Amino acid sequence: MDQRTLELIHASLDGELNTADSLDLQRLLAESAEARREHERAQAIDKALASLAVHEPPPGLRDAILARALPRPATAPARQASSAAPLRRTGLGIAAAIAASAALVVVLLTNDAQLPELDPSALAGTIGRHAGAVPHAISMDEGAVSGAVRLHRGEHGLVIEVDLDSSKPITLVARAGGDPLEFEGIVPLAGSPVGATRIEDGIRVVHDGNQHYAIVLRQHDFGGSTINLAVFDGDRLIGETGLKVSADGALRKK
Amino acid sequence: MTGDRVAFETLLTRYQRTIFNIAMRMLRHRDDARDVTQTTFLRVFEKLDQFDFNYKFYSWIYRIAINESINTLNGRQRFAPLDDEGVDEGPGPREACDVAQRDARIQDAIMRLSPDHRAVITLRHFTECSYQDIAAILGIPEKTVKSRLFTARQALGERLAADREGGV
Repeated sequence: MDQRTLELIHASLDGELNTADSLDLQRLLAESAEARREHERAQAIDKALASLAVHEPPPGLRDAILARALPRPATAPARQASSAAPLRRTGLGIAAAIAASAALVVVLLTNDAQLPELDPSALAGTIGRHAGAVPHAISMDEGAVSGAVRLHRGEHGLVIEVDLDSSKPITLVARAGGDPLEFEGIVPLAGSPVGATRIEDGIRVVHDGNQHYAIVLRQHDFGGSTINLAVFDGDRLIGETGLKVSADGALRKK
Repeated sequence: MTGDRVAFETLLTRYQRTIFNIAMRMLRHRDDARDVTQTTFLRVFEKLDQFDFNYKFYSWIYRIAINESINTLNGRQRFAPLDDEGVDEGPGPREACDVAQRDARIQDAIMRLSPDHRAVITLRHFTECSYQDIAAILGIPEKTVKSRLFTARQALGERLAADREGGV
């Protein structure tokens, strides 16, 4: 295949073709099986990249940046003291300062990094155009714990993705509306392996430090059921949310 | 000061998620991405009075984020080989963890690209910059942007195909 055809194929995926080039590409694709294969291959890569979930910035990051760029006089001593160190070492302290009460929100993540801030209370997510990849998340910023817990729905079941940084052991409990959860296991996505225990009505994971893993739930008819997620510090509930999986496959805030 | 704060908060609202995601795609490490996001905004704040408003603001802030990410990559020493990241050794059928594993597999492939190639992929696919924007951000000719994108996509395609053939 010549260089011009390759350039046209990739430029078409990048939205960089003018009308004349677009017509030229259509002709080339009609004439060449090799060009069509390359076009399909490039489209597949484009689709794979587009399917990646957007990462939600850590809770507390915005406030930490503001504190360093524009410290408020009333809080300057405390914030200046922590601002001398990199954020990763000060994040929990700042989080504790700004989270006088537990901040627990459910946010809808999409693949559009340019979306404006959303009102969590108004969200009712659906699978939509990101079929199989639309997560819901608990963004947690509660003193010693920060990070997110996301629920993905895929072809084969549900995945609870946990990405939490805790300065002391916490316990994550997942329960499904009255019926015991059937879980396949835990997949470490970064950091050390984690262990889970089956409990009477769900699963329990003891979590310590900065860990990122996925809890995989066996294929299940979740239509109309609910998934409840709760995080405990010892016996103290520090965050919880519920998601309802509708018969049509949509995930909605409970 | 109030005006500064409002303006800076607006910039944060507009760009925080994008900058964090640029850094995550470049680094695949939340703590590093958090630091890069913070440093990027602090540099913007420090140098805002030097910004030439004849240029696109996002090009400037994206350039800072990419450069900070590359600086962080250059300073890395602590990471295990990439093959150790995103492992899928958990119990149960592999296909059950489809979304998380698929994301990990794609990000693995991205991380195997050189930083230069990763930067063009990140800017094109995760910020939707045009060729012209990417050329301006990276300070390279558009022709180089196209060739790097092509090479990067070829490498990604080969890696993802190899993963599929390997049953991952």
